[in-house]
Amino acid sequence: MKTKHSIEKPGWDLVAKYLAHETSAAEQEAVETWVAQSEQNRRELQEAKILLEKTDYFYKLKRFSSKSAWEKTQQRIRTEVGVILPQEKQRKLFISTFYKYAAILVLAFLVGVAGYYFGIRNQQNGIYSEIISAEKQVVNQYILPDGTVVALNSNSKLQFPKKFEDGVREVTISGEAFFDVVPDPGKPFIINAGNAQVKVLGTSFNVNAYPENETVEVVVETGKVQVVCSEKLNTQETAEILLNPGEKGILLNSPGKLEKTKNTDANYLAWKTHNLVFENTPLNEVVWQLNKTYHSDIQIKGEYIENLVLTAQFEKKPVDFILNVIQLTFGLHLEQENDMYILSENETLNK
Amino acid sequence: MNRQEEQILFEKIKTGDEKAFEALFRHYYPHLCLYATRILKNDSAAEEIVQDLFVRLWEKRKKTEIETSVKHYLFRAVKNQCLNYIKHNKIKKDYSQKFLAETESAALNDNFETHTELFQKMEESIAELPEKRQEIFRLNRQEGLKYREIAEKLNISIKTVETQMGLAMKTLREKLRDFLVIF
Repeated sequence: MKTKHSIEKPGWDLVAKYLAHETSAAEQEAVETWVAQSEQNRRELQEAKILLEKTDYFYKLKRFSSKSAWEKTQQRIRTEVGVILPQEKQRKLFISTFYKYAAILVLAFLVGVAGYYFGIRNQQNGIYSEIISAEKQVVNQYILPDGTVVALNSNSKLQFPKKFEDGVREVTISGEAFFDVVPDPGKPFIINAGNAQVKVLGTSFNVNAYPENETVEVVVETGKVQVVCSEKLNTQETAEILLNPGEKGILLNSPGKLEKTKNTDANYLAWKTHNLVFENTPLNEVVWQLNKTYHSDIQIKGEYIENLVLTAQFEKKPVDFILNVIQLTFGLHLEQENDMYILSENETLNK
Repeated sequence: MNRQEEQILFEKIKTGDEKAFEALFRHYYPHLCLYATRILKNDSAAEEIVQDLFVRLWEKRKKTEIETSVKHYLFRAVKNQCLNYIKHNKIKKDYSQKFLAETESAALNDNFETHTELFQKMEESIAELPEKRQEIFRLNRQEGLKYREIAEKLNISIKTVETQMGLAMKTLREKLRDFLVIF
């Protein structure tokens, strides 16, 4: 037991506790008695205090990542309205496909893994532009005339005016997209997605509005977003909701019902980021997520394997890397046929 | 970066040197954001304001004349933008002249140039701590969690939190000693 008036130098755990204002009255007294004993002791405590102040300052600055902010800013300073920028991971840039409205340039580029391209077309009146992503193709970054950055998941279409006028920025999406909206209080950013109208009050979020789905989903990453049901079928239901970061709004297309929940899907942006988190996730769900993220064709053979659970994190790893990890972790057999992967029990080991 | 280096950098920026612009950006970005949050109390708004400022600075680089120092210029611009933001969004808070003046002079007097090396060393030293210890230290210092809250969150005893905090401080002090000047 420590005596109340200990003159021993307090241990580091006590010093830390004292500086974190966590000490009991007796402990506090012990530290202060020790400090009062000599100038040397006072300096030692002071030094520890400065150390903590500096680390706190360090942590505060760390909230702001110069790296990602610079990437965004660089995009913006390099962008003249409507110009497409090569992406970080982009390897090739080439021109492809023409749409039916002739005389219009369609730019396409490869992003990340092979085979991704997209097109832009101008409609005949020349006021609207469209970006379209095809099957298995993701547009990682497209910059709208106001600097807003959009990523488009496969099979999606974004329509927007070539110039945002009349005090509003209004676009129409079919499919799934991630928006990082440049704030402009004077010009609200509005997205029409099926029966939902999404109004941006802050910055970045994901909209999932594939026409074949029964729902429109909006997940907010940062900022504030308002979702309004544009086709009110039942006046009893909530006509609009306000979403904060981490929240998800769901609009059931029929009967036009708006709901708000916490977003529990850690991988909702994986189609864009290729960052995946699995926590005790059954392998059949893992595979479903991988197929969705990488547009791959992975199959599992055997119920035993489906129910294995995986806990792992992958940051921007190619799909075959992840499959190798899974294979090694569970001692499975992995074979590849053309574009198809098959995971099965390793019979030589298990039998 | 001292004042003269900054001026040279700014001359380069004027000629369209993006690398120089990036260096300026990276050097000031977190500090300007932190300053803006002191006024706005809102991280994402702060980041937007600072990024917008740099975009505009780049667009107008040829016409921009800096009379004081680059540092003063940037902090002043951030302050003005924050005030605009407050006005625009009709935020009601006490933004008295006194508060603003104090915040500004604190930011400008903060000699963060000399901190660069310390922060680098700190980053390394913290990263070298055992993972659990790092997490406990971060939860306390960055997220401001009480010992009890950390213990609950990580499902460990408060005593363990105490010990780990003590060990973290001991190590950091040993490694960062040279930077801790006492007045």
